[in-house]
Amino acid sequence: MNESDIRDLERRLAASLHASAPHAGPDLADRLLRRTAVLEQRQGFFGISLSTALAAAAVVMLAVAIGLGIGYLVPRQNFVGGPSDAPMPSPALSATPQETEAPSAVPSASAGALETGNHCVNDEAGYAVDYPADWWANERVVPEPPGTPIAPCIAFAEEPVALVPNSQLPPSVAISGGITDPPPQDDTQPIEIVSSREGEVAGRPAEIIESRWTEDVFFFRAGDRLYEYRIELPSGETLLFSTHTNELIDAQEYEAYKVVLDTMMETLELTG
Amino acid sequence: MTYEVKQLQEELVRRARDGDHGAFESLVRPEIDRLYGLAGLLLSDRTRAEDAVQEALLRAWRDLPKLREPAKFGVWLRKLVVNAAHDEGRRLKRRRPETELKPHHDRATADELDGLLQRDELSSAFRRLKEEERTVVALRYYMDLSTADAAATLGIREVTYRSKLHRAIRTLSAALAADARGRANPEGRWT
Repeated sequence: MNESDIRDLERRLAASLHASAPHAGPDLADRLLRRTAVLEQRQGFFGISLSTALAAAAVVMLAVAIGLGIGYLVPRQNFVGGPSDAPMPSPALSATPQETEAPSAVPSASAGALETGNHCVNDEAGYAVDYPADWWANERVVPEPPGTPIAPCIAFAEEPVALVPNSQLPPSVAISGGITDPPPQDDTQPIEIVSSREGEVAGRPAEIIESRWTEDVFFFRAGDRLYEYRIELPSGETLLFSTHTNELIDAQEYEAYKVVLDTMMETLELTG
Repeated sequence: MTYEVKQLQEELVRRARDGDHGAFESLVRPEIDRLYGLAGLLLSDRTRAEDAVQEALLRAWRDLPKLREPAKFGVWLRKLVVNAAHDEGRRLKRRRPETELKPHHDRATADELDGLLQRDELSSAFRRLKEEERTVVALRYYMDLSTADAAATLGIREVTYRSKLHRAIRTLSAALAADARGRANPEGRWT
């Protein structure tokens, strides 16, 4: 299919969709708006820390890029165009206020609880980190045919995992890391912040946030947990490492992975 | 959108955020037909499409006080509709569509027949796409959104959106080609 064929298909597709889409009857808007008119609005949230934390949760959904180019960090179900693409995040309902702890110099009380023994470097993102001796971390994957390669040292798991270029990370990846752009502000994610604290990782300011999804939204399910380190880089970008629950990672494993992540963050070095 | 219109819209969002339902109506009423059309395309079911738009509007009104940036109201509202449609889609999975959406051909002339048949084929191939594929396609070719706006609606990066759209179009094209082969060889004989 050449460019001309694609342009022709696009033109015909647009015509087809406009012809196929239903149109609202004359009273539909009135009917719909009658119900909103009797609904009470929710109060807005206030406080810097909450918005920051909510934005942090949104980062996770954008953190796909972490070397993969496209897709999402936390897989749940298939999305467009590939066997393991993920769907988009949802806005929807609101979060609830979270605890905010005082800033601390160390990332976690559990740091040092595990021994690391492996070391990997991601020159593209500019970091190096240790990970447990019996764990696996990905190496650089160059797609065939040529495309966006997968950067090394972005996915960590207890067993080797096959990473597919241009796809999201498989659900068996326990911990993932990489650089992401700042997320768009969205205060309507159905996320409850469980805890949030500020600290320092590799000499840079960091936020350590744990949150919980309050509704089923695409690849997240109500109750899914997310634990993340958002490290502010001098470039303004965010280096994000996280672990989470999903269909393969239960609450017990998640708690163990949190400890591993805490330990890994103690060893993080910025090389860029 | 001109600067003045944008300013007016943002003022309406601020008023709606403060509880002015009339302002909310002014904002969403002009969008309802298109949003309903979008939900209809995603769900192939008029009743569920209406439910999805209703749900999205209820959430929009209820949660509007939490929208910090009035300029993002449009993207946010589309997001709510897409998400509500996907939620409805999940509920629909075990059910047949109540009202299948098809183009209206009542007044077609012979000259238009070829075009209409092509649209039917496209419409059929579109409905066979996965719901997420239908979403990326509908945002571009029905909502006529830019890559930036479509990506923002889905909460993904532009490069991701472009990639997904490209693959969805390839899938659609392959489905059309398969349909054409099936018509050329209706008994399944390979030549």
